[in-house]
Amino acid sequence: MKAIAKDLFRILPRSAVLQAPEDLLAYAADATADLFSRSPDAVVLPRSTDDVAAVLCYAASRKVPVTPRGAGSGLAGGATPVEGGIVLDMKRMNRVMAVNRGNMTAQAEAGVVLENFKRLIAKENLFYPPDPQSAAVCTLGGNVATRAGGPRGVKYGTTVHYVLGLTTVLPDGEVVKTGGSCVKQSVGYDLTHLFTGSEGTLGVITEVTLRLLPLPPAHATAVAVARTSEDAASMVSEIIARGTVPAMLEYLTLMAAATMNPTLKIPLPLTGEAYLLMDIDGTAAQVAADCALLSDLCREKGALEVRIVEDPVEAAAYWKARASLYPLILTMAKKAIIEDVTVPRDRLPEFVRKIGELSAKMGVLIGMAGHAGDGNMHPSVLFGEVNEKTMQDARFAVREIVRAGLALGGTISGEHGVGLHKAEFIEEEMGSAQIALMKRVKAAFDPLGIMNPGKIWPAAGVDHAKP
Amino acid sequence: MQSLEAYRPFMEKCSHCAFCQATCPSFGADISESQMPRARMEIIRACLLDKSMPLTRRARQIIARCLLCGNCNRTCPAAIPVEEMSALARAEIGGLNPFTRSVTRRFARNRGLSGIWRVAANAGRGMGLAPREVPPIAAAPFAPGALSFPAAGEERARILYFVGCAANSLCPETARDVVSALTRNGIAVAVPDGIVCCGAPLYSAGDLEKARENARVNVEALSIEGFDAVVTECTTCASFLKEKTIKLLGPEDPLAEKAKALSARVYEATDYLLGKGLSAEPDPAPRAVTFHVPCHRGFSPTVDEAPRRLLEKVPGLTIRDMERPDACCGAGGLFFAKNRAVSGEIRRRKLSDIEASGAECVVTPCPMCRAFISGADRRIETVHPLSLVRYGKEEP
Ligand SMILES: Cc1cc2nc3c(=O)[nH]c(=O)nc-3n(C[C@H](O)[C@H](O)[C@H](O)COP(=O)(O)OP(=O)(O)OC[C@H]3O[C@@H](n4cnc5c(N)ncnc54)[C@H](O)[C@@H]3O)c2cc1C
Ligand code: SF4
Ligand code: SF4
Repeated sequence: MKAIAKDLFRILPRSAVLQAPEDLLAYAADATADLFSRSPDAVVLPRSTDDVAAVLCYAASRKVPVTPRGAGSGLAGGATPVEGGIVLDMKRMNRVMAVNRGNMTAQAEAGVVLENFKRLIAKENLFYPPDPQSAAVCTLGGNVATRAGGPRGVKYGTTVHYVLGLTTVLPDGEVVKTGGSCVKQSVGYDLTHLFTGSEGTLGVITEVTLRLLPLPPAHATAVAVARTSEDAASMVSEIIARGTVPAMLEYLTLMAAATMNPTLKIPLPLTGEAYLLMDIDGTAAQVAADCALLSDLCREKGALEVRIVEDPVEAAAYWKARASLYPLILTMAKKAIIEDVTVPRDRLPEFVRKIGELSAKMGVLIGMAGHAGDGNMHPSVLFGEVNEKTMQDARFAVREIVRAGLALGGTISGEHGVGLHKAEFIEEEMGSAQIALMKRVKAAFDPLGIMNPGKIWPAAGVDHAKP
Repeated sequence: MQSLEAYRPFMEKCSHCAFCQATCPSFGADISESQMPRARMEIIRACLLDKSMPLTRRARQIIARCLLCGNCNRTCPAAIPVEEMSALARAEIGGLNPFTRSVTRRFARNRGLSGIWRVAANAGRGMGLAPREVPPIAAAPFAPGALSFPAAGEERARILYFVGCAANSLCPETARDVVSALTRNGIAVAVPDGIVCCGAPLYSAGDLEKARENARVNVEALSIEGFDAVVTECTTCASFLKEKTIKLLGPEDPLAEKAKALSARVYEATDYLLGKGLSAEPDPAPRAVTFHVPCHRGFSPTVDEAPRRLLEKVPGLTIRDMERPDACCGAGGLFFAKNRAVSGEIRRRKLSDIEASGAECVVTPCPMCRAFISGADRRIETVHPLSLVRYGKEEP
């Protein structure tokens, strides 16, 4: 047994520490396993903030790296323990402490699974909009740590817009509570939102206080089939410009539509180059009016077909298929590198055209699904065979995709975070002054550098990001 | 399902998306990723296929801690059947000790135990050698051989009734209720001679050889002309006859074609009766019930809802849906006998959902789910759905 595990057994119950190689293997990577993985030295499954504090006190005393982990569904390599050490699996901290209807807030532990949380508050007709497609497994802590978004971003924003307060354990074991339950706050530096999106590099979030909304009473699902990708992208820009805001506005390629078809009762016609999948919510009257407006608008922009899906079961099938898209596509490709480039929405047609050109020029297959409504695309480089050449091509394609996004005033990540796999690009986006400032912030919180090392910026001398 | 090696392409399809955490009962009980389907698959691959890791005690434990519920297969966007890999891995490792194996084989061959074996098994149960949830073996099995029951009134169909082992020898009253509900709805019922256990307990114990043997016996025994369908009261038996038999035998088996033909005719009893439609309104049953959906439901798109749909037609019955009716109860066939803590934790959640529903009685077709949910103290009443479809003021 490794010394670290032995030490941990001394401070925690036996059932809270895993150290067998078989157990460690399960924690060697997140959803980007095919890019990099490494088993940690030990896994700790805390049940309380105190447990987490005890682990961090120990880790600080021995300078052991600590990687917080929710479901490990991240798409940036954030929960992968690149330097070994301890993985803190937060999923046993899964209590919802309070749902406050009078204040429209809830307080929960970081390991609560997003979908369970949504189901629970829905019983009181409450609504928490952030909807990463991994909702069935991802945790509130992981969502906060990555600023997770999803299709609803277009109307409701992302996790960052709902975090009011946090309990966080700092790398030396100190527990800090930031923010609170007030829906507006204006005191001091906004540390709550500094931890939000910090990807486990500043501390371990153990509790979250979230803002809620009333559940919208009515919904409709609509699909528009576009002749070309650019048509679809310009429909999106137009929808946004006209001020009709669907709750979800997803962009799908022909390949994505074909992938989804087997689970749909009435398959999508495979005649378009791209598809828009929309959810419209609000009061019944509003939904009907918006549906009519959106249909007209899409037709005006040359849609081959606009379909309103009335049957709620069938509508659910569309969204379920949408959520499964990435794993489904992986059943066809050997490997996929999924990007998260986000551009201003009026630049979407240009971005889509550039990616199309790039794909054609390089002969690399680039899948394009995305939460187009908020400008967040997921160009994925797919390859059928893994060898040195395809890897190199893929790597080059990723670089070009990222540059194309940045050139249009975009960002390298809209919701997944930087983690391991986008670390090499962060300087290109943020510039050296911002990076230097962030590094000073990091040093102030984590002078020993034990919190999730190797993430957000590349660890000196190591390039884990290479596919 | 001839070799683990054949599952390699599935293993390579895993995107590491983690979705299989959502429904795996074994993961849910422990909440550690070592018990999620993906990890189980990776261990199986590393230890048994690639041989890149030694087959340690811990590895065996992770492989054994699978309820073979099939949720992974249903939840995984790529439909990766970790369940089948677990079963094959167990067969390769060798699960049962020789004594348990011989008792299981005997039970499976006779669909129960009789004579001295029955006395010994019940005595063993009394001494705590077997879990108290399992009812004692009845003195007289429902069908020691062939039986036939004419349809009451006009005959609408004739079916072969595959009486599951549990209904045959642990709760024969359920088999009687099934026959009564079917015949009263114009369905003539015949129990064929020579059927043996569907093979599920053997499969679960890693005794695939014996499970195949049983499958062949059943394929022969059930391939009789002159019947519209093969019907069984147990969800797991139905899934075995319909899906697993074909897979276990494989395309090369001399009985492969017959197994396929049989599969097309297999139904779970409530699903079948619902499809036929009730010919008369059943007696009122003034009770509040909730439904538990057994795990082995993948073989039919309607079998999960069938009991509920059918009982909606029973006057006076109040339905109180529980949350997650299709979450595993923890039994996993006889998994619970060897994994008390894991199963107990899974059942704890189920019981809290049952309690929250406010129902007085749990309805589910699977006898093992029923026994395990009832618990050793039979605190919770559980019934087969067809036990609530009664006619003519019969006494229950
Ligand atoms: C099929 C699929 C679809 C997806 N769709 C979306 C989508 O639509 N939108 C989207 O935004 N994302 C999506 N994701 C990515 C991923 O699910 C999100 O990033 C999610 O927020 C990760 O949550 P998790 O609990 O799995 O965190 P993990 O992956 O375990 O961790 C993510 C990061 O957060 C840190 N972290 C986790 N918990 C804590 C904590 N308690 N304290 C401090 N740091 C912590 C980790 O160190 C890591 O850096 C998808 C993933 C998959 C596989
Ligand atoms: S069969 Fe059930 S218990 Fe086994 S791995 Fe799959 S989901 Fe988990
Ligand atoms: S759900 Fe399927 S693809 Fe996703 S991690 Fe589990 S086994 Fe792999």
